[in-house]
Amino acid sequence: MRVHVVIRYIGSILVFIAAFMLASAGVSMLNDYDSAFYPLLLSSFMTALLGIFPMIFVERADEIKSKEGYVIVVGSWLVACIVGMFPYLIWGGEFTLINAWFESVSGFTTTGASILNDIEFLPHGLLFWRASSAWIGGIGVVMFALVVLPSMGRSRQMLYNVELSTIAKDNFHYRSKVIIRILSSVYIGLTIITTLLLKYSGMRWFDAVTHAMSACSTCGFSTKNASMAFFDSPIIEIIMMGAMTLASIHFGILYATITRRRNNIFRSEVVRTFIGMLTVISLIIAVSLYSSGTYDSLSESLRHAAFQVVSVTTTSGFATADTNTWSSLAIVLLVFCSVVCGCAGSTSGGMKVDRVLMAFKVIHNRMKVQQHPNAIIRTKVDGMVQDDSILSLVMSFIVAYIALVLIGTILYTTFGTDLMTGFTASISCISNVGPGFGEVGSMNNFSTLPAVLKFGSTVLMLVGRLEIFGFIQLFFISSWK
Amino acid sequence: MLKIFGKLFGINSIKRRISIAFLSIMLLLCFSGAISLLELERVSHDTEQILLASKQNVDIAGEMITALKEQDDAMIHMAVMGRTFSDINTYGVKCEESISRLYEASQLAHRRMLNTDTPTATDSLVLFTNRINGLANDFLSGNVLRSVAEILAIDSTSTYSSRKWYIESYKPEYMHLSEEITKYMTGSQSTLGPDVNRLSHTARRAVTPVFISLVVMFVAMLMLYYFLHVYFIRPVQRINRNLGDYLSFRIPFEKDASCRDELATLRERIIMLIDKLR
Repeated sequence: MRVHVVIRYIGSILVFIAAFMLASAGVSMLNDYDSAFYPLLLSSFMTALLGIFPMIFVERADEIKSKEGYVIVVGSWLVACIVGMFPYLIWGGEFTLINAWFESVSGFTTTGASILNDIEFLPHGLLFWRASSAWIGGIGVVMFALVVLPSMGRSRQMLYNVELSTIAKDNFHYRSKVIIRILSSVYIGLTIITTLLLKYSGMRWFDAVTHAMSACSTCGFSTKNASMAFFDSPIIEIIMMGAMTLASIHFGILYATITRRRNNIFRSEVVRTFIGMLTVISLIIAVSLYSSGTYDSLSESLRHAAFQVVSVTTTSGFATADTNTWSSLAIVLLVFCSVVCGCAGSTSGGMKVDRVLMAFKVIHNRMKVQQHPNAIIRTKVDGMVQDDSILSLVMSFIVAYIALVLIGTILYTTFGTDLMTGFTASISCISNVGPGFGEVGSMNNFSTLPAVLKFGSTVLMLVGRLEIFGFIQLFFISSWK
Repeated sequence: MLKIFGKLFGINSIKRRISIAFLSIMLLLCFSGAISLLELERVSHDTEQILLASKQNVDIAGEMITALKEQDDAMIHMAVMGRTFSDINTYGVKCEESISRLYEASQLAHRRMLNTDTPTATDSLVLFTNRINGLANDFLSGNVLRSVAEILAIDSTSTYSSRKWYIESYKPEYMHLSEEITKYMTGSQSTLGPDVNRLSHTARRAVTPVFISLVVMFVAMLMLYYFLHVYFIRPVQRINRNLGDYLSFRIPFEKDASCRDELATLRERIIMLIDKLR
């Protein structure tokens, strides 16, 4: 493996991140040079320096090997999280070393969990950086860099292959260069439209931009302590729900719908399952909340239930209500949503509807084979026969996901949290949802957890964001042939 | 990107590459130093504010202690030692003065706390001041002496006296207020608490940029060392070894060595020279 080549590509991604830090410093400047200006400027300079250094010395490689590609992708995520905590650390306040690391990882992995007790105390520049890190992470640090940096050349194909999930590639019927363009145009377009809609529904420009970035990246970072409950506006909630839902659908399918192609939203089995799941669970929770007397009217129950279901399923984690006070049925269903989450090829995390759908079909087919031993039954999703290797990968992913949730729960409970908090925090971190239940509920945060659990949570977030195997494979890189 | 940098800064030579690397490190040093200086200036400003606030606290507490001491002195003369009427008048004036000084000082302390995070912190101080002032006013208006006379008239065997009133009623209040004044001067309810918090916050911000810059520079230096080794030291060593091998044993000069910049030119020129010598 050529270390200098790996360093060079990670360097180019750092330059790209430095540009966002500089933009955040610009926001700080527009707000009368608030206290985040110098921290952001210095962080931008340091990040750019770390990035430009290898770019000065190492020339672009014509081709990179798969091993190098993996190290570049995983390394880019890790290094992005490390430099991402510079502005927080320099600014100070509640940001100790572990808190800054937590907030940075939570942003880049679009988890949206926070250690901040007083978000509104942060200056605008830092809030913008917080939203930016989520926005960069939403589409993938490397994928974003591939869009912006033309110098990637032929290496683009390799990095794209490593960064994009295997099951997400199925719905893209284009060359990698075109796919990257589609991903970026859908993502940027969705963010702009959401910003404008939020602005015209009564938000200030700053809040509209940061909330749009956060919703489209399905991160869930808000600029308010009470999250979306602060705005208390059904129109804003509907816009946010729309943005979160669209951001959780395969970007290739969204593009096909816009350009009136065949494989659009209305024909996709996965999207139908996803929307159906959101609708049914919202209705069940609404009825449960109304019948348990949590809310006075059915409409209010439906409003809160729908928002929370969409927020959790899309792995955003915005909150309009304290879900800790909801009925047991509602909590169980929300935990189910935290596991399944959105569609592959979107910004959402978790197990993904595609995988769950495939797993159900595999089980269904298995039962059929038991009844008809000689039958050859293929598993189809969206009319396409799924390869056995893909199905095996899906089942392995589900097993690995469950194993990690158990390991996470053991870790949390070892350090003194209750079972509810430990179990839901593990799921929330691996699925990059943000809030769980108990001590880490929708109206609480991770600030009370001991440092070791905060660090453990960040590891789970990274593992979840890199789709488990992407992260684990890095530790066996030396044995690759 | 590199091409753009190359065009902008002309970083195609060893000298320029290394110059830019060192310049970047220098700039980082200067920049983080400047930010630390700015923050240190803020620390200095905050320290001045804290010292000023501390001095004001001590002044108020000193004024209260002096006034309380004078009031107590007057009370001892009037209630315990039982001075004559003219003496009572002299000490009465002193006592009235101390009542007013205590009241004003406690109100000033209270007003200063209103703008802090703990506006109710001087409530006890004000309460005990009002209570001791009430007792002193009671004595000065003759209520205490009258009640003593009334008690003695009803029960001639009673030992109740103005001295006993002083020990049982006035002295405990005196002790409470002294304690509150001491707390105000040294305890967390003074205005110092929030100021000290702010100072520690600013002090950390003054140190962190330098610390992070040092870490970044350390990483940059490691990269610089690595790149210098890979792109400059190792090729020079190889050229040198190849040239030595050629001169000693006529082993052909290596043509496909991966060299860049001036080193590539040097290698080509050596090859040309060897070809000419042949």
